[in-house]
Amino acid sequence: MKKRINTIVLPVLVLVLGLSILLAVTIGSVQIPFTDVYKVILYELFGIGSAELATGAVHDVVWLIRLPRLVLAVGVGMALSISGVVMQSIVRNPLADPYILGVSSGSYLGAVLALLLGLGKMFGGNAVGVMAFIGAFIISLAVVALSNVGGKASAVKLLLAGTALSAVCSAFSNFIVYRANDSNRIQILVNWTMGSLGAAKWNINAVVVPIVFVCAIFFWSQFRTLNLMLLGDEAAISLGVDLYTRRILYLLVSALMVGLSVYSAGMIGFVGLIIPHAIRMIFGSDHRTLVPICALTGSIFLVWADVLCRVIIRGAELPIGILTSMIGAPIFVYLMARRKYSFGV
Amino acid sequence: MKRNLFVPVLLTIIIALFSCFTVFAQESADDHYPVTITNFNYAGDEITLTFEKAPERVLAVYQGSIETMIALGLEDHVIASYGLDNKIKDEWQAGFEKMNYNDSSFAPDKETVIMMNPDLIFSWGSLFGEKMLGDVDYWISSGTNTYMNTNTRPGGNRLMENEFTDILNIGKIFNVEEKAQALVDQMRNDLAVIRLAVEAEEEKPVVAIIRIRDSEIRNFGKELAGDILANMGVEVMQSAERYMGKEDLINENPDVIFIEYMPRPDKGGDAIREEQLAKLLDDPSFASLKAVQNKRVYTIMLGEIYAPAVRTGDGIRTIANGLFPGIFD
Repeated sequence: MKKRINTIVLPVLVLVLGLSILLAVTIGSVQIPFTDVYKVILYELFGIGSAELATGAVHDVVWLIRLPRLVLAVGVGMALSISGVVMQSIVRNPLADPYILGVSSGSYLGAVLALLLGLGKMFGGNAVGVMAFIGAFIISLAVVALSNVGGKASAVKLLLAGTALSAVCSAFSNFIVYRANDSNRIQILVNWTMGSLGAAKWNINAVVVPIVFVCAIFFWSQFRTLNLMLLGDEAAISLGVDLYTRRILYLLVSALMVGLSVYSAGMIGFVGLIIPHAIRMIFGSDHRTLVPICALTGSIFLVWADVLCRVIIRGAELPIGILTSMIGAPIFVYLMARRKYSFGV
Repeated sequence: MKRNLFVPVLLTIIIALFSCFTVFAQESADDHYPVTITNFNYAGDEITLTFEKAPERVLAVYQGSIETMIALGLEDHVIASYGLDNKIKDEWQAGFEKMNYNDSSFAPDKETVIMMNPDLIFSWGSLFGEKMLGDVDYWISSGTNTYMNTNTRPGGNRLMENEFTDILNIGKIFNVEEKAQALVDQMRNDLAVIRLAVEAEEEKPVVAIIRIRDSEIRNFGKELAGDILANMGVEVMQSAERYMGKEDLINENPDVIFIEYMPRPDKGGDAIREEQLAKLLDDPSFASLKAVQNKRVYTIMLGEIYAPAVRTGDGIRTIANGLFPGIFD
């Protein structure tokens, strides 16, 4: 049964994702005929067609604006939903999301330092993104270190360390924000926390998407350990597996993925919470199927969320984090109200 | 003969008496005050202020407040000033030296302000919070008048006319109405010149005032900047929101683009201008824009389009020089 899910569902999802991208790339505020859109893509990918396709507004909109966003949506959607699955296993808590172990406040502090104190200038244009990535990663390391003080890290100690360090980061961020008298930059900061795929560029995608893809394959290969984590340390030890090192390794790989998504798109809430929940409800908690299905569903979800963001208000754009939360939170409430769903195996 | 002299003599006497009276009236401040002015409280509601005499102990916070006082020659009325974003213009430098400028903080807190014992606090709406300068209602009830830049009050439309009203109001409060009127008249004259030039155009250009950020475009068209453009008779780029995507800008494809920037002298000055400009010009996805191809991209300081006070005229001229290069050179 499990194997059949993968052989049937996965190809279907891959197909849906492919079609979603092909359809989504034709939607936007500039009206471009279908054929023109695909001519540009064919020219850029395979060199088919005349060289005139390489310049002009249609080319720029399709190849430099829409498609990079959609490819980034695939990467970020995958990163956040897999990270959600992994975090929920690591801390054995269905409420965990990619940001639970301090990652959100760590990256927020990074962004605050970059925007309001001008730190990270050497990183050039996207100093905010780089500093946010650094913040996310440092706090993950700090959570691991703190949870190992006075005995090995357990799921509960990780959660406590995450909560404590989050509070520290938030306090310092608030202090800096309060002291700043630059309302313009504070506004930029607020918008940053709402997430956006608007900054997508091919050179950013070339770094983010392959790394996310490799991390995704890695977690798929770890499905047995992820399943064991839901049973708890004692059960795992009785089966001859020590979860301690795995937990730390997963945490850091997950932090890398989330850090990259924060770097390229800011904070996008609820994807990492709602996708794993919904998929568990339909396909069960076996990580052999859960990881790849979540990865693809997360990507499809974010591709369409990005399309909605671009078209929902005429002539303007809605931050994607607002939209995912507006869709995600009610779905979450609905899932809770149904009560048919329980966490674990 | 006698009769012939009577009328001219009587007229001369009457005229002499009348001119004496008007000279007397102009020199006396007693007739000017009390002055009543309508302004706003921290909630943005209208309040009425009464001035029995020209304030002598003014606290001026924020660029526009400081510059308005200097431009109207009122430096001697100021006991303390705070909160500069931009360098003071050369022509105001001499006046600025008398402004008791304090750079220890951007704005003093309420306690510090109480100790100053000001009779007028002149600032931006957002600064009259309880955590900052203190609430307007508190100050009014304790006998200190406040004046906030109308375009910074909570709520209300951001209009060019509000900036003019503020300058005229301050003129009225300090009994320097002619000076204030002259400043506003100059700005209105410039506006009339540019309006004529726009009307002479066959097609009205579509103009955008924006800032390119990493993931979004900030559009100033719905704010004061847009109102200034509308007053010039050009077409303001349509966009419902403050933020738009790259594709939305390409869709609107304005004829002329002004990139807003803030030349903080402590953080790079002109380098910031170049940096902001490069965000449009160096991004290949904007290459197809009309304004980029026709080299109709200019820059404008935030201080000239956001609650600019006496710099409103600079904003008008910066935009005019972009629309019709050299018109005010």
